[in-house]
Amino acid sequence: MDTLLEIGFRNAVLAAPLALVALLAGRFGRRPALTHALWLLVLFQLLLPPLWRVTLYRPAWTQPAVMRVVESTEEIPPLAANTTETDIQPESALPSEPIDVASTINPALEESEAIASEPGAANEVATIAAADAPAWAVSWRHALAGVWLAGSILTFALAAVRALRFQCLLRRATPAPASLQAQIDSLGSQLGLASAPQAVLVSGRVSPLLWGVIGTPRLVLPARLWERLDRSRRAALLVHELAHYRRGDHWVRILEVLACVLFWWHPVLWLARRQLREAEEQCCDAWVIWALPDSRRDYASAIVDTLDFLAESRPVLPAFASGVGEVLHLRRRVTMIMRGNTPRRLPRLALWGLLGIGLALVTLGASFADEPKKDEPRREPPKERRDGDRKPEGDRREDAERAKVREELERARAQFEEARRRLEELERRLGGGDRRPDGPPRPREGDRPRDGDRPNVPGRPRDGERPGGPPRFRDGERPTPPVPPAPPTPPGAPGFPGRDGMPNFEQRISAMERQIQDMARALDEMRRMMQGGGRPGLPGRPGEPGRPGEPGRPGEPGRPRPERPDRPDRPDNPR
Amino acid sequence: MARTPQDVTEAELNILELLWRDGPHSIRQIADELYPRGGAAEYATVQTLLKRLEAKNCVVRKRAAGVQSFAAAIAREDLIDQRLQRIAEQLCGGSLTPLLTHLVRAERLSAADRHSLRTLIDELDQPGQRKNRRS
Repeated sequence: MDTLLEIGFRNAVLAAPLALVALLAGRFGRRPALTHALWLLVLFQLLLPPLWRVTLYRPAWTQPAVMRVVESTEEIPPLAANTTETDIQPESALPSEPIDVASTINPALEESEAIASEPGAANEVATIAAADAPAWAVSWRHALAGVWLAGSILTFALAAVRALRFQCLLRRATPAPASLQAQIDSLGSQLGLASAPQAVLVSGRVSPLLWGVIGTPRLVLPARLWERLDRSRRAALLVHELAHYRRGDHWVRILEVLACVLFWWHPVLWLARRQLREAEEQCCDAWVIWALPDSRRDYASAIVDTLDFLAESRPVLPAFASGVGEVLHLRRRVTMIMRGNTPRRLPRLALWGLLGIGLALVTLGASFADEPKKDEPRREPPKERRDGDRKPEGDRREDAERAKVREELERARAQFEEARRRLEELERRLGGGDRRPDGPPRPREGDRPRDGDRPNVPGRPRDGERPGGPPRFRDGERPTPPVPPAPPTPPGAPGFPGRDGMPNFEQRISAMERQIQDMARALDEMRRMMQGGGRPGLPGRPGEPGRPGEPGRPGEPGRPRPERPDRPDRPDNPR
Repeated sequence: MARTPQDVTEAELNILELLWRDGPHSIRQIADELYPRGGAAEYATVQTLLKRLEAKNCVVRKRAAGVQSFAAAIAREDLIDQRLQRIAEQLCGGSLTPLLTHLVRAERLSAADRHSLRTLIDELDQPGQRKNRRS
């Protein structure tokens, strides 16, 4: 759907400059046939999807979209980090909160990550589509597509109902008398038609017209107008309608209706329709002059007779609908008819050359603009590479490292949990409500499972953009470490996953370690208190504060870590 | 929704066509004419259609010799041709569904505009006729 939307908008946009060319040709050119061909190209520009595949590297087009991805995923985490920062208290439950905040604020992010993490959908397109569309953008696009579609359906229904009705009424109209039909046939053969369309006479006040959308084309002639016209004027009007038929303008009507259904909202289309009419009429006028050179005046008069006839029919209706443009157009037509020097058509070679080249350009032009969209997924990895300046092997190595860190983190977290449990147990045994950690831990215990099944830690989305992501996403079921207060995570720094993923983990680890230390300190304090109060049994579990740090340390031997300095003081903890 | 002759449906038009062509008919006659093998259901259909046509002021009821008959109350031209005209206007270039190829757009031009067009023809015709005479 998005692709259709894109193509639609691109066609709509690209039609505008072409329309400008056609408009200028109509204004300053003397060849209505040329103007008509140009406006026809505008219609084709609207209707035809890009057919030519020209792979044109155009970074300027892709850049904004990709940058948007980065921004939209980056926007939320700092927010979550901020809230946690304000909420933190030394012993209170910081881990669960940021997750809640993040997940409630940005469910779409979570969803998009979920999509991206499906192993089957390692397809980058899906990743991009999901990442590219934050919730508001998705709904916006849907709404737009919905409105567009609804308008198209309405327009189509309207056209269909009216066309069917018209057809149904025409069936009841009286066929033209044989003499009139004979005149039509002879004029038709004069114009080079193998067979002329059948004519019907109607008594309503309609302009002489050609109906060719449903069924066989028919000439519709107003009987009452026909009564007033002399033979020469009748012939002129007949030639005009036959010229429409000869030119195949009823096919253009079908194109127009298609364009109206698809681009009912597009002003360029309205302009194109009007200009197409004018060019058509001028061409047909030229045909009349060519076929009946002596009846210029009769023809021009017949047109005004028709206007008179039409004007008589509605004494009630207000005249505001008569646009100045219509009068100007008619004056121009009359002038051209009376001068009689308008070429009735383009040389065949010129016409087909123009249409051929024009069609090629129209479909090519659209695909120029369309190509970058298709390229976006492909261009995504290079972009990251540009940011991180890393080769895939480096990425892989880093992924391994990262997995190690993650593992370590989880171990630390498990230990932290255990420590906390013990602390609570201790408190329970103490029974005294004088310790602070009493309150927070309870609700935290309830929240815990939620943390586990929600891998969407604010730090994550950044990882989600990594090309080597899928295997890592699958471990989302594992309990992930809660988010640390993250003060060292500067909101501005994140943008680029490659560089910041590691520090982020390290910061988390260091934050956890700090918490563990806090806990350990609290435990020690408590133990001291208990020993002071004569409670037995506790010395049986020594050393848990020291444990958490240990497994972590061997985890990454090769990398310098900012929180290393923290470590040495853990063993020094008073016990 | 106000019922007007413009809303006449295809089935109703068939009945009207019959009335226009052959004069007043009774319900039974219409049913026999339009649905030669019809039964009670078709009779009821015709009855309904006539009731609707009556509501749209398209037929009138007449009672002669105890038999009810219906006659068209609207001229064929007024109905079909006006509808045709209306739809033709809806299908012309200015609307959303441009399906007709016209001689002129069915737009209302004021008398002054039309007069100015005629004088324009006259003006342009003078030199042309002189030229024709000379050559």
